[in-house]
Amino acid sequence: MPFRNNTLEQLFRDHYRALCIYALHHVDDIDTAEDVVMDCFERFAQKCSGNTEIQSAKGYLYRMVHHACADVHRSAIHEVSDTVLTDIPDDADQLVERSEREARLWGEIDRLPTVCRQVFLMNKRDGMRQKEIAQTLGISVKTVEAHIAKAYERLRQKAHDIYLMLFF
Amino acid sequence: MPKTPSYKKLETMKKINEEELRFVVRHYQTGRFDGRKAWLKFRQQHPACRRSLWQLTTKRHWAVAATIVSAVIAVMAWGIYHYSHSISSPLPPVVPYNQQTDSVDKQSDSIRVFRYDNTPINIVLRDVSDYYGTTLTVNDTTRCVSGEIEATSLADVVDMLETTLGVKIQN
Repeated sequence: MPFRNNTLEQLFRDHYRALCIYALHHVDDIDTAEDVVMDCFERFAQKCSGNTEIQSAKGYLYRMVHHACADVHRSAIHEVSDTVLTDIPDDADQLVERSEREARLWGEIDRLPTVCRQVFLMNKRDGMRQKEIAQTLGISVKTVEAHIAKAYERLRQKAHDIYLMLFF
Repeated sequence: MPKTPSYKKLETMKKINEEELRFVVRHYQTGRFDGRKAWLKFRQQHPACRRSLWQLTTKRHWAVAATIVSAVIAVMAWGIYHYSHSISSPLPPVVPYNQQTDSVDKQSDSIRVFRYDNTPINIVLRDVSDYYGTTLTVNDTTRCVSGEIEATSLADVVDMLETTLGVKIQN
C-alpha cells in the first residue's frame, strides 16, 4: 500500500523522538541527532511528494536515519577512525525497539511534575545523594525520598505498559 | 503469532531496564525531542514541502468547515426569520376585516363617505369619533360593519349604524 502524504504529521509525531534517540545511539550528540532526523524527514517528504511508493514508512525512516548517521561518521572520520558505521547490523531491529522504549521513558520523564523530575534527575543523572538534594532545594530528605519513589513508580508502570503493548 | 511471555518474564519486565534508563537520563533535556514542537519547526522551515503535502488535506478541511458554517448560518437565519415573523405577526383576529378597503372619503365637505369591509364596530366608531371630534361608545362591540356609510352629520351616521346593526350608540 503506498504511503499517504496526509499521514506525514502523524508519522512525524509518532516516531520523531524514537528516531532522535536511535540517531543519538550512533552520533552521541543531541543536536546532531535532531539535525539528522530533521534532514531525513525533509528528504522523506520530498520523496512522498514525488509519488514514490513507500511500503513501510517507519522502517524506511529508520534506514534513512541509519545511513545519515553513517554519513556523519564518515565526515568526522578522524574522531571515530576505528568504528565507522556502514551497513545496517543484524540487531538493528533490537536497537529500533530499544529506541522506542527509551523514547517512551523520555516522554514519561517529561510528564513528571517539575520538582519530582528535578529531584529524580539530580539523583539519577548527577549522582547526588538525597541529603545533598534536600539541602540544595531546601526540602526535607523524606520529601526527596517521596519524589524519587514516585518517579520510579511511574517509570516502572510505564515500562510495564510498554512491554505489555509490545507482546499483546 | 506473538509469543506470550511467562508470568516470571513479565515480573522481570516490570523492572526498568537500567541500561536504557541510564542512557535516557544521561542525555535527557527537558522538552527536547518533542514531536509536536519539532513538527511546527519542520513546517516553518519547509513551506514548499508543507504546501505540496498538505494542500489536499487543507483544502478538504476548509471545504468541510465552510459547509458546516454555511449550514449553521442557514439554520440560524431560518430560525431568526420565523421567530421574528411569529412575534411581529400574531394570530389574526377571529373576525378579520379588510384594512385596505376601509377608508374615509374627505374630498367632499357635503357628502362624507365611510367605507368598511367586515370592520369591527369599535374601529368604525373610532373613525367617526375622530372625524367629528367626539367620543362614541357602543353597547355591543362584537358587531361588524360592511359597506359605505354616507352621512352629512354625526347624528345621521349614528342613526344609520343603530338602525342597521340594532345596537345602541352613546355620545
